[in-house]
Amino acid sequence: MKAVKPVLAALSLLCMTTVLSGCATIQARVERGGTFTTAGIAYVDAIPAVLDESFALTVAANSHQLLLSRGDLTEEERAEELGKSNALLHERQQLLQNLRRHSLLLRSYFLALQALTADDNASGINSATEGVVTRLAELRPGIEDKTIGDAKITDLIGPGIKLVVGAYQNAALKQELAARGEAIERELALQQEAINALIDDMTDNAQLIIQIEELNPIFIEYVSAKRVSKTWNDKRLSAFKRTVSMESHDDIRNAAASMHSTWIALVEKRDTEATINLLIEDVERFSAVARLFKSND
Amino acid sequence: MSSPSKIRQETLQTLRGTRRDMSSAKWLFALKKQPKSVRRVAAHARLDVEQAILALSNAKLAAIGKKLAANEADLRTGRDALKVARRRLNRVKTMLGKVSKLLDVVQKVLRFTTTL
Repeated sequence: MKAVKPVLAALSLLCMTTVLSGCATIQARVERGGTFTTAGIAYVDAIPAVLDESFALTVAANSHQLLLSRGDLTEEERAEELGKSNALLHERQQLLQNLRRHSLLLRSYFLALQALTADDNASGINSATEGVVTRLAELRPGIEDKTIGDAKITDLIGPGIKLVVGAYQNAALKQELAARGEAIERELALQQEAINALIDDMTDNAQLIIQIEELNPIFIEYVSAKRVSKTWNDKRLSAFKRTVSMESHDDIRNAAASMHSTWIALVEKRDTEATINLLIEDVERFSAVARLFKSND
Repeated sequence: MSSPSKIRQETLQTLRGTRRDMSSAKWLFALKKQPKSVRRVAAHARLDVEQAILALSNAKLAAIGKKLAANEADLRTGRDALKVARRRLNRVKTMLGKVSKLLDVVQKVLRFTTTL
């Protein structure tokens, strides 16, 4: 009989270890899900700045084309061309507005997912649990000193509840990923397609603007001016630097691609801390570019 | 055979290249030496290219927007399902609060009976 006790104690310790390590795995997965949604919200929040910048560049490029042609057109022709351009830009504005509205819906989805996986659920429940433990201690003085194996009962009730909450969060997350995994994957793929289309436009429009505003005067000055100004090299260098600064457009593309691939990893349970960290880095760079766009307004 | 979206993309790339060429200093320089009639035709051509770029890129965004709109119902359903799951989780917290209050009552009853 004496030999049975240590065996039972060892078994209970083993069970406890298994339960707690399972708890850690579940909790880590729920936390990664939570981190993904935080990155998702930051990603969606950065999108309006891209839409605004994209529209500003489209209008600027269009204005340059109208101005380059203006001198060779009659007043009637100018009015007609301006009207055509305005109609197309108005249509573009509506399309961007639709993208903005849709992004808000995606944001509300991420917010709901974040609310489910948020830590405050566990901590809120833990404080409620502590309340129960305190009442029990008042009813049965000395319960706080009682132990199972080497662990105090009061220390075990908290993690137990946390495990239940974590398991519930994990089950709800799993259910949601199974039910909507494909729809959200499609959504993020479409968002990526839209971002790529906008970045293609932005890059082309920005290059055109640099060409007209900076490279053309440098060319004309060199070819036809009697004397080239002392600042000619500086202006040339500045034009080259502006071309290089468009590398920030790649940061936007990368964030969109990262959101899409990380979601697939999450659905397929291939997500790791490394993939989530990479996503955070990509989204942070995107947010920095968005802040830069906003500050240029 | 190329898909319509591929043809649209290739046309867009060609038009963008043409717009860049027609806005280059080299082109504008050469155009300056041409008679007014030629410059007028070139001005119209430049704006035709510009408007074609806008129309094609608008069409591309409209196609994506249409697919996004088709996905909206799934997004809404997902959001609502997650809200329900969250409410269920909150109920656990409420239940623990109720247990705590019940224990309070038990404690009071016990105190009352021991003083009797």
